[in-house]
Amino acid sequence: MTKLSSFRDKRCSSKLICHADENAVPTFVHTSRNLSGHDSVARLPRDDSIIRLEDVHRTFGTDRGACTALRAITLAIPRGDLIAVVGPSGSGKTSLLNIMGGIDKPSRGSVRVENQDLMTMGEARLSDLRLRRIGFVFQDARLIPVLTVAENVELPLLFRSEISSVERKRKVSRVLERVGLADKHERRPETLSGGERQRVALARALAGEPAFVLADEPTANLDQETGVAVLELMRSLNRERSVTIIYSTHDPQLMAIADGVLKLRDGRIEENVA
Amino acid sequence: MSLFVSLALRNIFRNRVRTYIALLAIAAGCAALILNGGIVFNIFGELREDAIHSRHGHLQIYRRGYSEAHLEDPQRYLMDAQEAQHILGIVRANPRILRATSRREFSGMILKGGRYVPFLGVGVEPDQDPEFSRHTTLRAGSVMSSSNPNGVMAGLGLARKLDGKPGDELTLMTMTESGALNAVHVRLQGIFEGGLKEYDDWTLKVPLGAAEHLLMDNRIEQIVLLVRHTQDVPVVRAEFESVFQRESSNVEMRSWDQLALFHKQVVGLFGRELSIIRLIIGTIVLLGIGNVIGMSIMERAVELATLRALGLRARAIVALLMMESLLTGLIGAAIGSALGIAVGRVVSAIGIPYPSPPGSTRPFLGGVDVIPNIVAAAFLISVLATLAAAVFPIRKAIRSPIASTLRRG
Repeated sequence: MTKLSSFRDKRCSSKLICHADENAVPTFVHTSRNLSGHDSVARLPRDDSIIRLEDVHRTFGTDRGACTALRAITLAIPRGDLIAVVGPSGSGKTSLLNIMGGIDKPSRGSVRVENQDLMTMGEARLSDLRLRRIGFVFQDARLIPVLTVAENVELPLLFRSEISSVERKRKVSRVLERVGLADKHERRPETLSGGERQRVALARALAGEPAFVLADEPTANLDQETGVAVLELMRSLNRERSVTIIYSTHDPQLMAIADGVLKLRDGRIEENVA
Repeated sequence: MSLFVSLALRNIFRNRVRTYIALLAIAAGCAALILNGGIVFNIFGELREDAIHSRHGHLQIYRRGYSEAHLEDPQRYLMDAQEAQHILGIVRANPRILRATSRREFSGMILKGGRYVPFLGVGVEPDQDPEFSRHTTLRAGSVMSSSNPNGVMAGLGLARKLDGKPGDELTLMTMTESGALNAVHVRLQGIFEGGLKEYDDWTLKVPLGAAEHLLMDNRIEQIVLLVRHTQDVPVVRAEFESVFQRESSNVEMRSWDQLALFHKQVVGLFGRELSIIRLIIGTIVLLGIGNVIGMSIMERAVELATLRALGLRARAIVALLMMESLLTGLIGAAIGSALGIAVGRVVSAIGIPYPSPPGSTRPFLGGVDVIPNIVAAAFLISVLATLAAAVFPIRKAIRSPIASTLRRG
């Protein structure tokens, strides 16, 4: 707790941490560190969290031997929050987000998303879960270059049979309007600025009304001003839609708008702050 | 158009140079299949027309049992003149029949200038024969006509054995049914080349009247028919068989493809070769475009992993990539078909000079037959080869872990 307190003090002085009480137990993320010696998951109401990780390890085999990206991660993320995952390059941010999003599996441990155990799911069920409940925003937007802005947003919705064509178009135009790109819906991604591309990626992630959005360094390729604008858009969408957004960044300056911060170093949770 | 198909189409033309290379490979393979098949079928057609219009006609009608046993007892299977006329009346009434004629085959010796040369005689109706001999080349003299009842035509090889030339007088000798030796004097009116060496070496065409006089017998051995369109032969045969059955006629029929054994063997041999060439060209197309399609898919590995991360199932990715391959295959095959047909028409207009085919005595000017079935098979093979070429890279793309692929990007 000492280290956590000093971290808070430092951040509070720069107005990045705004509502944490010095003696309060952090509630937005529960990690093995802050619940040391306790059964962290058992102490949370089951419905309260959208993502739960327990003793998650991720090791990659490389030419030079095994490389551990995540070590003993235990956490629970409540619904509706905007969470920043921070840490230097190689700290395990992307690995953590990949595991939360079900596009990677831990070498050890358990992952639950909306009380569903990802470890027991087959590839098809994981795909369905991602399609319906999770939105992704990648570092460089990763839009399909041959599709227009509107088509990029529409593409994942095509595979949701419960959404009619009319409804699909309506969702696309609504979300594009919300991110301020309604007038650019016919444009190809290469004609957009970096910030606009990330807004399209955000629109694509949100169009299907997911339970949560994972954004892996969404501002890394943007200048500070544009990055802040994108994050502010994420913040307002998070507030409007009560959608949980978890974004990673290596820039401590971009933690300010988050409800909570999870700091990683060498694959471990170094600190978490609400 | 659905966004999915539209995406597949746009992906195809994302890298235009590579797409053009793939389309060129598919089109070239498809055109090669059409041209190869067209050339082979043109040769088949030439051999078929040789067999029909030099020797066998389209259909032959005999007394029942002839095909099985006429060599043992030829006299037993002859039709009398009245029966033959009745059958000719029936067949000539059919609008699909172009010509019908009577024939009588026999053997004997030719005496010329003190030399005896054996021959196989074919008694033919002189006015009908030219139509039945359209593929016969007249090497010297003139064709038979009813105005010259003693004018005969010798095959090229037989004429050489006789050292004969048009205008020469020949004596034909044979045994009659009663065992007596009979002879007639005839004049060599023309020398023909029928295309099959064995036929030309032994055959002497004799006016039917002269043959009857020589054999002292006016019975007919076979009635030979020419059908207006070769493809109608099975229908015409079925019609006549039905009529003959109804009339309880004591006759049987054979079609040209049952009689032309040489044609059958050649078609069997070249048909097998054609299948092997199809396989080889299909494999070349597959290998040629496999690399291009593989590169195109592997280059987009990160994009495909992104789509999978967004929730598209592996089968949707497979469907997208297969759709791209299918569209590439369809476009390439369509270009190849058009190219193959166009080149085939140009080559046919110019003509390909061929040496004599196996067993034949005549070189011929061939072309490329544009056969709808061959075009369809070439189209299908090209599309299937394109789809097959995509299987391995697609398999690799959907099996690669999403997270590590995204990390590479």
